[in-house]
Amino acid sequence: MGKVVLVTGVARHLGARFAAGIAAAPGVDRVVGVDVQPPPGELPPGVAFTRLDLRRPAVARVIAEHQVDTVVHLNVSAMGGGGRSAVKETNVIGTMQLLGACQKAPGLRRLVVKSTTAVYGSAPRDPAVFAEGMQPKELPPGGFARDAAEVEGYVRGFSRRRPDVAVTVLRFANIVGPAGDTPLSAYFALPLLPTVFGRDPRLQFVHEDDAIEVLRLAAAEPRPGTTNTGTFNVAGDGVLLLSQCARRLGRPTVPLLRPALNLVAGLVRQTRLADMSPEQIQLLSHGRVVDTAKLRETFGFTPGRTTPQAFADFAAAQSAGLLPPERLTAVTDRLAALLGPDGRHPTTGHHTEEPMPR
Amino acid sequence: MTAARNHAVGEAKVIPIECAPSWQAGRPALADRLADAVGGALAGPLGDTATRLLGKGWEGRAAGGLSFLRRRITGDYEVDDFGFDEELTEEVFLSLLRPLAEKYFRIEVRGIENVPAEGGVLIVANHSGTVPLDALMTQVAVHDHHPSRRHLRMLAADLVFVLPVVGELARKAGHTLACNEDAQTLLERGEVVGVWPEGFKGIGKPFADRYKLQRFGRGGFVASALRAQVPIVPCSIVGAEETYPMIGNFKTLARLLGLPYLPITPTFPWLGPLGAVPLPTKWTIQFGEPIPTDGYPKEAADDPMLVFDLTDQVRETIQHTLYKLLVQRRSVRRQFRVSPGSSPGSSGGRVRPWFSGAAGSADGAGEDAERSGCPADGVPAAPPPVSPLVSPLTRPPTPAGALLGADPPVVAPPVPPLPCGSGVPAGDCGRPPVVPGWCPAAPGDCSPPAPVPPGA
Repeated sequence: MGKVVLVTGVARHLGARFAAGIAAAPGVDRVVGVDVQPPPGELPPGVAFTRLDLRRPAVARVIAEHQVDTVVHLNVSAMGGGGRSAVKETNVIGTMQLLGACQKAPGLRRLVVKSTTAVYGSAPRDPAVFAEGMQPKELPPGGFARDAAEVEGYVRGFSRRRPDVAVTVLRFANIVGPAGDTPLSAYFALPLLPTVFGRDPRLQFVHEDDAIEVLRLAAAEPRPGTTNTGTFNVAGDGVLLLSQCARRLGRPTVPLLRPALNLVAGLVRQTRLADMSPEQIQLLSHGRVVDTAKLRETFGFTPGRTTPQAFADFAAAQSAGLLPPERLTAVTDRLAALLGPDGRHPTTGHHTEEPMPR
Repeated sequence: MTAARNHAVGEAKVIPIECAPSWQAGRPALADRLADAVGGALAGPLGDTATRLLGKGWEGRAAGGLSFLRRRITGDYEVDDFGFDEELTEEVFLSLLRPLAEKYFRIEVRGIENVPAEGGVLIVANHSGTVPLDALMTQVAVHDHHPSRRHLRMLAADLVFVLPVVGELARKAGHTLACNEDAQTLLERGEVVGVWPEGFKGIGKPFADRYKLQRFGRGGFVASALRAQVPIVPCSIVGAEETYPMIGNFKTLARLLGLPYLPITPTFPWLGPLGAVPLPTKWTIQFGEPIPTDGYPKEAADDPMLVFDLTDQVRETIQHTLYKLLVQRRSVRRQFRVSPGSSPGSSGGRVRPWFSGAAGSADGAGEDAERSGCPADGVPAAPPPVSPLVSPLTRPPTPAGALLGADPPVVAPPVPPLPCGSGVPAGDCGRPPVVPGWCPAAPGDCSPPAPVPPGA
């Protein structure tokens, strides 16, 4: 008998891609996708879509009806219709309902929950690199990060009550891809990037292909020599500073003092250009980097793309900014060429000095 | 001039710009014309002027600068997990700090061979000087003097990362928060980690307490080194104490601003921004013998007794070295004493009284003694006059014994014979020796003089 996988949040880009991917995986009988709204595109034939609101107990019926043995909970998200309170309810109450249903499902073997590295918060007094075992100095005050922290708490409670279920919590760094719909990609789409004055946060990205691959591995049986239960940070190797991101995108930054930035963020939110939430401003102030040693060594997965590579893939799909890097390099290249090959002046002959003396 | 322009046009024609399709396709931008104009001017008479002004090889430097600029404006550089921007640090930060280290403080670096060529190492140093210049100077010293050009990764107070701009620059220069996790991660990655365990207690201590090590935190740095099994290199910095002699503290204002202290120095805040200029003292940074930790098991980090013992060992090594260096120092502004009895410089050797401290006044007194014809073999000389200007600053320091617990007194051993009045206890009087650097009136008289009442 094959597996039956329930995927929540299939109306989103990542959920739809994951459902389609796992439906084609060997050994998977059926994939049931649930979400509160129908997916924008067609789901592949292997995925049965059921429209339901996770905040209601209806999900228990779906699990019993399809004899689901693997639940992949992707419906913990920063964005969604209906404002912040509705998003919070979907995240937290939805997870509680789902976990309640899972607890009553005797056939359940595996639970995978998508979380976020935002649970570590973003504060100047925290360690520079977070490992899975570290506790943030203070819980995130609110917003999506708080939701994710609460969701993780309920998941821990569930795994205590159902020790026979393998539980995997994946803490993703910011997921980017050519067609992402995350708050950070909306931010990077702004023509001018408002930043916090005097701060250059460290950011980490994970490519959505890698994110889907990690989810697939977590939903399957562990490969020999690896363990896929537990909590894992998922991020591409390396770090990009916000200033680097802006320069690679060719978007000028506008450093603002914190109060001014809060005003601008409010304006951006009002005009629905992007969702600059307080915790995103916090991220843009202090950044966040996680340690992925456990993912590589215990889980046995190394993201195929590093943070810069993932970001490059994202940047390639963005419209050109006001200061495209190519145009800037054309100026420096031209000036360098006027200086002659390897810095030798065309008219003043040669010299033997190093290009960059101290 | 026309010739130059023709030349420039000719030059411009042969330049391939394949890498910039948007440039070619787009409008002939201002920058394009600008580049032409600059190039044309440089190819012409201006080029010779530039060579004369900037020295030979300016084109090479300009080309290097351009490629640096190119990488910076396109974001094509790497930072590590801690935000350390090696290129920016080498090309900008260290270049800015180097003149300060070499020309202003004239730092003498000793024992750099004690820092291993590779692998993790924890450098532990004394902290002083109100402004953490000593940490930055140590970074320059390690990078410039070490044959492998290693970068010092400092563990900084959380205040640094709370402040905007400062926090950003600190991260880019490779520093991180002083916490066990970060320290251990860096050490395990094989970095040179620097820690100033006295923290604000050390850097913000009053001038009267100079060169007296404060409590060394809770020994967290030793635990990190034990876990990572890396050696600890004690580092003693002399000279930083006198850059900003802190004679007072606006405690209330500091508390209001959320700062650990707000210093009053002889020049700050009286002279305004000018008062923030450090005094041009002569520095010495001495790296001591590494203390290995790989002989202990990893669990030793959880043994508080061992951690405290090692902490004390490191602390005392630094304190002893400080005393030794202070004894050898002839004045806060000048070279170390090389040969005993060498005559002081012809002029300008006198230390300004307000600027000389326990060590300084001793040296000043030593010079006095030398000038008064005191021979090097220790014949008692007349007690040096105590300047009323000096007196508030030179109150007798606590005996070394009190500082170092029940240990035997520190009598700087390998110092060459010194002239009288140089502050070394003669040892024949049987009284507890004073901190070297304090000048007894004459050899044999080791007891500190009665403190001059304030306002005398």
